[in-house]
Amino acid sequence: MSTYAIYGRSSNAAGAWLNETAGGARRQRSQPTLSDEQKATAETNRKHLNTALWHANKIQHRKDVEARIFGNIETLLEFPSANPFTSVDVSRFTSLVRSFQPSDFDNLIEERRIDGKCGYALCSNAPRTESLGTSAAWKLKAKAASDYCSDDCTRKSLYVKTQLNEVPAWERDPAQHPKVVVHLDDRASATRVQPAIATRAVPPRATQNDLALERGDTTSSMRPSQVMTSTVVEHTNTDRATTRPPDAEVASHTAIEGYEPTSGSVVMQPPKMSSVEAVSLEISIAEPSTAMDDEEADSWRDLFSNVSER
Amino acid sequence: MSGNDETSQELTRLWRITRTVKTMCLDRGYELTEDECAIPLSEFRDQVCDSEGAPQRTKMVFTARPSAGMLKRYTPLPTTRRGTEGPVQTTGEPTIGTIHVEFNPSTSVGIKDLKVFAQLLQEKNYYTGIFITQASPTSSALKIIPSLLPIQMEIFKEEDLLVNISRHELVPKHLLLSPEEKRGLLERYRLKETQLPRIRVDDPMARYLGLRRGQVVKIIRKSETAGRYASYRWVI
Ligand SMILES: [Zn+2]
Repeated sequence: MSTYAIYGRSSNAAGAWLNETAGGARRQRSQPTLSDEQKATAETNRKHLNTALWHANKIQHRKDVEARIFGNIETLLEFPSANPFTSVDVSRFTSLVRSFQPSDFDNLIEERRIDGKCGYALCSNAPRTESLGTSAAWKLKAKAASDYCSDDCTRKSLYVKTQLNEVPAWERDPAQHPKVVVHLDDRASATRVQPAIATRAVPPRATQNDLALERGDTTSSMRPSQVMTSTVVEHTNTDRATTRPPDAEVASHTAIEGYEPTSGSVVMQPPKMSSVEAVSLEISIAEPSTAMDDEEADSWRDLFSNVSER
Repeated sequence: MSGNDETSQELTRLWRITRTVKTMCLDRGYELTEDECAIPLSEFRDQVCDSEGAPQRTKMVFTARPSAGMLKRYTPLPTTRRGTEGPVQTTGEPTIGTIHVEFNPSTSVGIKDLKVFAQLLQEKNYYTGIFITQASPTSSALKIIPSLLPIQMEIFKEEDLLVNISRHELVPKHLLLSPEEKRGLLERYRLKETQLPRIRVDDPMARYLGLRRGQVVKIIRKSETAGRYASYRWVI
């Protein structure tokens, strides 16, 4: 596609410039007699070069991702492939929008409306702007509704949009792309129980790599996805033996402030387990037993993992 | 009657826009006559209206070739490289060619409209294309433009061309320098281009002249105390 061509070209120019600079730095270093000052300069240059490269890579990565999203919008302009849509359309649709931000999704809807198609990519009808004319937006009260053929499509489209990630795709880890599912009415078999809440992407967590990236330690093109994350871990089975409060029954002369040092050779009476058992915080929820495809199963899994975290 | 009024209003509007666009092309250096730029309304009506008397945007399309002066202003400086038998001088091709101007009849402009226009520019080998629209194209559609290089696609909104900004009394005269003039300027003042004041490529006057990044434009102002004085800006 021609779009990629320009991105590629601009990156080559940047690359060429950087290569030249790199060559310069190498030549300087290879000279046998170098003053400390020259060495310091070379070192500074090398650092600057690395910083420049890091930024160049980052910009390139962003451009690549943006080009891909643009291509996806172009592809989805031609959807669906048949009327009614096929199951292939569904899986392609959901995989093509995974990298979208909600704003990209809005762009797609706008492009489809301009092209005389219902904003919902699985629908072959014309939007209401076509049938109601320019006053469609006014007649429908909500401007967005005129981008679609019906309220049904408006709803189904919104259902997909709410699953998208606000984090720009070029700042995400691959794992951060949400699993997108279409509205129940549009799934291959609509007999399943509707989940109580829509499936959402698991909130991203910063890894050591992300933190290193944020400091600028590595040259990877990825940006830290999200640095401020908190992970709350419930300790379900606490080892009570070492933290038992002073107890008159077991206290001996070797005890220090009620606690027995573990390294002592004195054989201790094993501490009695207190009547209070460790509380399990696990909540068990029965998973649906119906057979389902992988995508569906994943979305359920996400849903349940969310529930048990809370 | 009101229908006729609307039609004639629309005709006058498009007539003013056409005059601005043609003058803009003339100012850039394309081969157009003053007469073409100052076309009378009656003549314009005969050219673009259908049998009902309604103006048709599709009939307003035109192309123009660059003048000799413009070609020179767009010819890069000769470059010298080391050949096997001494230095070899190569003169670059002018980075300008035929311009094609089209008026888009639809009320909204998306990816597909611009792709169709881009395809036409490619097929007909036009160097520059100006696409005049009634509404701003979508943000996605605008992303196509840089991918077309070296073909230059420019988008103007009709309402921005109702008045020719370059003729406004407060707008100084802008003149594009040729690569040679630019080099002369920098040598005379011992400057690097980065040391010049700047003008953005999306500045209304830069858009009017179709300026590109890296070019230098001379701006001539009239001053009550100093007469005429010139300043230079580097296009970024
Ligand atoms: Zn629809």
